[in-house]
Amino acid sequence: MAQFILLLHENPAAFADLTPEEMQQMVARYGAWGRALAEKGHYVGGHKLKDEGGRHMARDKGALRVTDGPYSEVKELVGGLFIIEAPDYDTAVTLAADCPHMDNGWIEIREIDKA
Amino acid sequence: MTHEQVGPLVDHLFRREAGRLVARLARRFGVRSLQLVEDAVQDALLQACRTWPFRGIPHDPAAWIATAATNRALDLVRADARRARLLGGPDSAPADAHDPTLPVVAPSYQTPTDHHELGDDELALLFACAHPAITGETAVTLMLKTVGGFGVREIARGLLAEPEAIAQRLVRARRTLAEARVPMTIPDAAHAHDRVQAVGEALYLMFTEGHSAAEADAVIRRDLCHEALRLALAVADHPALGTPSLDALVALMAFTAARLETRVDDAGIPVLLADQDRTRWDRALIGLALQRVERSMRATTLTRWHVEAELAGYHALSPSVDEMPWHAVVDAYDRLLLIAPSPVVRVNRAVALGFAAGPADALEALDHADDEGRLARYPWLHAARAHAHERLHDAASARHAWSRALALTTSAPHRRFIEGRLARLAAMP
Repeated sequence: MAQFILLLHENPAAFADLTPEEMQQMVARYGAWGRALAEKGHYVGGHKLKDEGGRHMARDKGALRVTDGPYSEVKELVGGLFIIEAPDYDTAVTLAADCPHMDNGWIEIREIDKA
Repeated sequence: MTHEQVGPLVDHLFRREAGRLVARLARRFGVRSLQLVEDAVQDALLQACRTWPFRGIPHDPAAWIATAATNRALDLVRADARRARLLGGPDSAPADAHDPTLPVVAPSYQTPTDHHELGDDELALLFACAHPAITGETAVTLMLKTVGGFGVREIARGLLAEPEAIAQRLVRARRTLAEARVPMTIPDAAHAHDRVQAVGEALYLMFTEGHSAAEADAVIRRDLCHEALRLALAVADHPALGTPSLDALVALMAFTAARLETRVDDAGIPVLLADQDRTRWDRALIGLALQRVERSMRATTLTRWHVEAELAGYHALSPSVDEMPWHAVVDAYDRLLLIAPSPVVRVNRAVALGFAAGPADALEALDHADDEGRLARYPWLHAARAHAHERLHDAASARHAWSRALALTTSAPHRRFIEGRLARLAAMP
C-alpha cells in the first residue's frame, strides 16, 4: 500500500494561549485519532519537530552557507509529521481530515514515491 | 508512537497538575516568583500537549509533567540570575538557583492516590491567595489561576469579565503578594481562625459566581462550583484548620451543587424549582452535604453558612415543591436576617412566606423588603411580586411587575425566562 507523509504546518505561537484543560483535550483528540488509524492499520509513525526552526543550507558561489531557520520571523513552520498508509490520495485525505491538527494549522499531504 | 499503550487521561489531569505544581514550585522558589512558576508549568504542559501526540502518553503522565515543570522553572530561575548578574544589580534569584551543580530533577514525583486530595503546598498557596492584602474577586481570580489550574480565558468566562481584565487583575495580585512578602505557609493556630474565614469567604464567592453566572456556559459554571467545593472540602478536612463553619459551607455548596444540572435548561434559561427534574439531582453530593451538616452541628455559634446550608437542604431534600416545609424556611430566613441582614434575603423570605402563608402576605412583605431602596436595579424583587400577582390571578399587575423586572435584566437567558412568563400571561384569557 502507498505511504503518505502528513506535514503539519502550524504557528507555534498559537499554542501559547491554550488553557491546561484545552491542552488535555487536544492530547485526547490526537490520541483518539491515532488509535483509530492504528486499529485499521493505517498508522505508520510520527515525529514532532523542534520549534527552533532548524537550519537552512545552501551553496553560495560554491561556499556552503548555513543559516538559522526563520523561526522568529515566520508565522508558520512544519511542527511535525505523521506517516500513514492508504491505497490512494482520496483515502489519505479522508483519514487526515479528522486529524486534530486541522484546528491548529494546515496539512500538506505528499505521497512517498516508491516506484 | 505506541498508540496501544496510550490510556485515557484522568479527567482534569492537566488542570489539577497545574495547580499542584504551581503550588509546589511557588513554595520552593517563593511567592514572589509566582509568575515565573506559572510560566514554567504552562511551558511544561505545552511540551506535553505538543509531544505526546507523537510519542504517546507516558506511563506516569503526572510525573512527566512535574519533571518538565521543575526543570523549566530551574532554567528560568538561572536565566533570571544570569540577567541580574549581567546588569550588575543585586542578585534576586532564590538561594538554590545559585548552585551551578544543581541537578536536573529526576522523576521522583509520587502520584497522589486520591486525585482530589490537596497537599500542604496547595493549602499554603490557597492561604496566600486569601491574604488580607488581596480581597474579593481578586482572591477568587488568583485561586482559580494558581491552585485551580484554570486558564485566563476560562476564568473570564466564569466570572463574566474580559480576559484582559482578568490578566491585569492577576498581574496586580502577584505584585501585591510580592510586595507584602506574603509567606507560603499554612497559618499557625494563633492566626488560623481569621485566615480560614478569609479563605472560606473567597470560596463562597467563587461558588456564588459560578452558580449565578447565567450568561456563562454551563461547563465552566459547573467547574467553578465544583472547584470551590473541592477546595472548601480540603480546608474543612484539614485536622488543624477545619471548623464547623467550614463544614456548613461545604454542606451548603454540596446541597446547591447537587441541583446544578437541572437549574437551567439546555438553552441556559432558568427552570423553576417546581419544574426541575429531581431524579437528576446528584445523590452523592446530597449525601456529602448531609454528613457535613451533622459535623457542622458541633458549632457553638450559628454562622450565616449554617443557616444557608439549612435552606439549601430544604430545597434539595423535599420530594416536591408542595412538600417543602415552608414555615421552617421562613424561620430560617428570619435567623439569617439576624446574622446577615440584607434586602435580598428579605425578598427571598417574602417568597417563602408566599408559599407558607399566601401570596397576599408575600406582597405585603415585599413592600417592606427594600425600605432603604438598595434594590432599585434588582429585577427579582419585581419578579417575586409578579409571581405573587399571578397566584392571585391579577394578570394586569403581574404583567406590569414582569415588565419592570424585564427592564432591569441584562442577562439574555433571564430575559428569555421573563419573556416566557409574559407570553404565558398574554395567552391567558
